[in-house]
Amino acid sequence: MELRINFSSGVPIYVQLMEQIKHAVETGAVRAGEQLPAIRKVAEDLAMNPNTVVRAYRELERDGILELRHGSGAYVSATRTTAAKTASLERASGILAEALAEVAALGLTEAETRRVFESEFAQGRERGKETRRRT
Amino acid sequence: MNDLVIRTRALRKSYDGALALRGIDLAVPRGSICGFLGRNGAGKTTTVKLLLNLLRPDAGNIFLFGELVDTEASAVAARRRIGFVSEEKQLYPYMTVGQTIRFIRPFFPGWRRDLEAKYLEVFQLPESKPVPKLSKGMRTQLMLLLALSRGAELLILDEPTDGLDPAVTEEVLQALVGLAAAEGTTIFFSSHHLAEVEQIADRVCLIDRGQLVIEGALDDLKTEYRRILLVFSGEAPAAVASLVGVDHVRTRGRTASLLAHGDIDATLDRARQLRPESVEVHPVTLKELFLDHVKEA
Amino acid sequence: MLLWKAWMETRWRLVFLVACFALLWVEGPLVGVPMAKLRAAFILQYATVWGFAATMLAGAGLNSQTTWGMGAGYHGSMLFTLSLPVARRKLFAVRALTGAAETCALIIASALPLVFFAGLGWAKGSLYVAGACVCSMAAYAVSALFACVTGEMWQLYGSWGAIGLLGLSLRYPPLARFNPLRGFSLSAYAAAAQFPWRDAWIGSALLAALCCFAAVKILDRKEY
Repeated sequence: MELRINFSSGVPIYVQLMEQIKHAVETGAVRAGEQLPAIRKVAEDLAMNPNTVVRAYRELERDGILELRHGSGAYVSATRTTAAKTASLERASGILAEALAEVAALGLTEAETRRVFESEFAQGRERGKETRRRT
Repeated sequence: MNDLVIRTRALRKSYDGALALRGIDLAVPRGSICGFLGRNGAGKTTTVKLLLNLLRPDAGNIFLFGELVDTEASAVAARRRIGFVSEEKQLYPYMTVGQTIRFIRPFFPGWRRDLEAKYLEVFQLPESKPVPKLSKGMRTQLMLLLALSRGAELLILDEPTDGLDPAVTEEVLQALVGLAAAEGTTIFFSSHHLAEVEQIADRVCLIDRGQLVIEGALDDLKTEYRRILLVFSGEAPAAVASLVGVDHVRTRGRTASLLAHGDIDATLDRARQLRPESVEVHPVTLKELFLDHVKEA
Repeated sequence: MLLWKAWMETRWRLVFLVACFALLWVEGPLVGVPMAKLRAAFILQYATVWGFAATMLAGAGLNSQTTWGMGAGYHGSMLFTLSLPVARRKLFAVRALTGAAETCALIIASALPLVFFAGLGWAKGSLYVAGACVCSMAAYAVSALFACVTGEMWQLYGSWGAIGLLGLSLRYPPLARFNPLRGFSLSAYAAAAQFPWRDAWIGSALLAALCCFAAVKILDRKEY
């Protein structure tokens, strides 16, 4: 996990650290269940205040991204998305981006597009229920 | 958790006829890394010397580890738990590195041989080299080794990275942070290098002309202060200088740069009443905080 | 460890002084210097020489800054020493006593030949040597007091000024009675059958005690 902090930035250091760890989790650089480096090691490697690392880890635990196990360290929560899920999310993102681009070419406003999307979503649910009823 | 390792109350000191400290109230909690900032001659070294009983205050009290320090006996008891690196980084010219360590060791029953060995290696200090032959960087590192290995609860460091190259500086900062993380040591250090202070400190004290002008957690300071930039269609109005909630104003033609403190939104409202063309809000760096607080005439 | 440090600070000065004294007894001229003449001068002025030795050994380590030769470089390390968990009085006491012990050792060693030449014999001779030590403690204490207050240069000037004053006061009988310098006079002993320096010893002890007391008071308040 590569961490780079800008100590002179206006963004609080613990926030920067949290963002970078979250990013590492989302891109799969650290996986669910994997142990993060000890607070002391992070502080020493980056030559930064250990209390700041503690704060970042604690906030991440509060957000459900990390699990702090007493005596053994910080682990990435198992409830986080797996790499496969991440890949699916990325694909879905790509598909929707293309669809939105095509719809936009039709000249609809954002509000109109949303209404179409919601109705499709609802219809999809209905179709799903019917399929299950039939089988 | 919040016991104060260093506490001073209304500390006053005159030096060579001039008032060096005008009533300093320091509060350094256990486990924090506190950066002590100020211009040369502002009173930093005087404060440090007072804490160690090298000087005696004209008025006020000093509490170390919760105990009042006002006699040599109480100072000796406190010094047993303190590691000190002085500004001049002078050691004994007739000793080698190894001899210096062996001389200092017996004074501290809590001496940590493991830390001594670790820092000897990390700093690459040659044991048989006479101290006068060491470079300034190595002398500083030796002094740090002596301070860090004694199992002290508090480190008082006067310009610990002064004159060191960036590689050595990073080693020093890592050693300090590592000790704080592993042993919960409180560190009180003065420095001119604001970037380093931002890097390792979680608290900051700024002393200017004998007074404490800023004191608090670094994170809090960064949230409490904002820079507000106002651009006016004409000359910046004089009223800008007297806005409530603004610590410092700098106007240049149509632009006004304000250092706002506290309730930023209220201050922004008041600023907007002056009808600027544009309003920008930016976070404030430690350097800006420092310069704005010390540059006033 | 403090003893070791005090030793390290004074050893070269001691070696230098021992060498000087040893050289005095070399027969014949040494690199053109007529040693016999120097020896004669020493025998006339041994008190002065001992006073100088005391001064040298009282510096370096007691001063907060030293400026020349073997002493240079201690400035600044005083801050470090004072930041150690040792009471100031103890630090200075160890250093001062080490210098005092060295002064006595030097005097004992260099007085023996003198005593021999004066033909005093063991009993009187050792009494004389003991007395010389006591009286030189007065000079040492004065010098150490100056050391606490000033740097090397002024310590020397001050000590010499004080010893000079003592020398001058020998001319005034009321002051001369307790004068430490009288305690060094071999001729007085050889001439009298009794114990001639009791008053000088009392005077020395008093002066030394006074200087110690003053030094302690000064050190307690001194600012670094």
